[in-house]
Amino acid sequence: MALRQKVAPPAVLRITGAVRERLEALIFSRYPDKEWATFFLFGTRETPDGVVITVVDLIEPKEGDLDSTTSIVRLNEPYSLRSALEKQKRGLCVGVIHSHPQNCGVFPSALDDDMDSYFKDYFPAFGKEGAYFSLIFSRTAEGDIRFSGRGWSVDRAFQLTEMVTVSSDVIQREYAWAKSSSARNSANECQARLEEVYGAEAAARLRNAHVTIIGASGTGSPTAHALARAGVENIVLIDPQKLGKSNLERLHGSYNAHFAKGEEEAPLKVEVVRDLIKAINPEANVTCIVGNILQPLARDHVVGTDLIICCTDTNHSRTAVSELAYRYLVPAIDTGVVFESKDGLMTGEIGRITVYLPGGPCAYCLGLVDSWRATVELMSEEEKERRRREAKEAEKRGDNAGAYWKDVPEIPTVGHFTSMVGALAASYAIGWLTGKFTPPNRYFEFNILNPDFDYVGFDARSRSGCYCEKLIGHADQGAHASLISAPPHWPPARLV
Amino acid sequence: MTPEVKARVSAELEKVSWKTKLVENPDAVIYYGLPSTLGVSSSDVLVLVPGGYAQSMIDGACLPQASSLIGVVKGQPGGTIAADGRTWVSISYHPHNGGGAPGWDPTRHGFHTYLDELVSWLSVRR
Repeated sequence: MALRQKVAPPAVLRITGAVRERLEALIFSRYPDKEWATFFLFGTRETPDGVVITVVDLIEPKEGDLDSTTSIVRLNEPYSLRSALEKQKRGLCVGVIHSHPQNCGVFPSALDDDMDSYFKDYFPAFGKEGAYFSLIFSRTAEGDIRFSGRGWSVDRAFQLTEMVTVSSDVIQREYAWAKSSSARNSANECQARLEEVYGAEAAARLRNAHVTIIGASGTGSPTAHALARAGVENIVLIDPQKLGKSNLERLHGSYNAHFAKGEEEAPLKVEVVRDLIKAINPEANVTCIVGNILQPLARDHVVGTDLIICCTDTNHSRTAVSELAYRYLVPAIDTGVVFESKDGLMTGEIGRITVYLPGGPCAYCLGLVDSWRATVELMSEEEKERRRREAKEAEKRGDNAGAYWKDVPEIPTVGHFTSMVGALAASYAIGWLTGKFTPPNRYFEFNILNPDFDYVGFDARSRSGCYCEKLIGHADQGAHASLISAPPHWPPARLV
Repeated sequence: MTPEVKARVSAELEKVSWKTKLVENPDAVIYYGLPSTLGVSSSDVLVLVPGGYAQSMIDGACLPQASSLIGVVKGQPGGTIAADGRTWVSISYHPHNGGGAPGWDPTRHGFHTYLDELVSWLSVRR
């Protein structure tokens, strides 16, 4: 395969803020005149359109691993062999990142070509993973970072186009040097007020942000509504359902006119929300997936976005987004809504916000998954019916019917409150994407009917040894510990 | 079976030293020659991979048709399942759903830990 391809499918690099900080300190350690380098471990997810690579960690050079007597990078054999063995042991991929001197371009030199043509065949020979990536960074005197990258995976070549850096206070999308000017969306007049408050850079970040919203109903539609008005131009919507008349009470963008041809002919929820976004901003790029976050088509689109907002309040979505946060470095804001009543009066309108990010606890560490509810959510109707039948038979025998079946009550919610929680999720998304503010806690809940809103919030840590601690950035290479999958009875997901 | 589920179950089975086999259509794991103290020295056991695994809990077990353990071990015999060229009888055994095992947690449990549940199941009369 030719080393330089004119048009190669795009690659998106995802990295945590902590690793990025270490990376820059290392590769610019001999600046401004001399280069330096490091190997790094990464995971991948190849999609029909390109690839996402997720940085797991740096394999930092030790004394003698790099030749310090020259101003360019020369990698010594013990270092590449050590990195190859680490790759093999951990079932991941290895690449190289090196700097070019200050104010120099980041295009590969002839020496870089020689290095890459050697390593792209060398590393895949160790272990099962066939991908190799080579990245080049430089820093201007003003402190601006430039980067480029290219990679190979078996029979495909890729060109790095974007880098997403995820930390607890900001999610930043940057464009590879060659594309820097053309990739950014131009100013949006609707953002004038937002620019006054947060500044022009924040407004630009929102325009260039890519957000996934899971669930396009009571909570998801106001989230999309608020983000569209804030200027977010790239949105992926995921929901399997058609609009129903009962949704008029809470789904932003739904109208009686949607039922002009009867409920059977009503549009999909993702279409209704897409139309709402496009009515606000015709330039918005909205991807609609009729399906579920557990399905591979949805995952292919989600892994390239900056942030997920989960608005389904289901155990399986919660598990999926918390796993996407640590395995694919796609952070998430998860929402929940509960209503409580007593003697005909409302006693609780309770909202819950949970932030999932790489290095933070997963839904299991937080105790937010009910195993039985989760199992029921993924069961086919036939299996539910069989279990109900078996429970009745068990009861007749005097056995424990609960081992076969326990009803899972549906808790209805209403539009005024789902709108509020959706807008709240959008607020924190705006804060995170612009770096301007963060939620008061990574987990919190509140009851709007009580004094001080009964606020309860905390920032928990992962349980020692949990996958969310061990598989950060492992992407598809962490499949051996995947927590959830789409059940076979679900219809395939599709784009509309 | 999706590639992710296959990868997960295969990785779990690599953690146990017992002879096992992952089969498809239906997706299931066969544990060979598990020890029993209930009139036979050992038995093969088939366990279905639930849809939505690993969040959906592993539940139930199947014994070979005509096994003398049917009706002796805990759990009500149900229908039959054909897998790997044999016929198996489904037994309603629910360790993680009120049957004595801890609540299902896919960050800890899997087909590797279910082996322990099965060994204990084959040693306790109903």
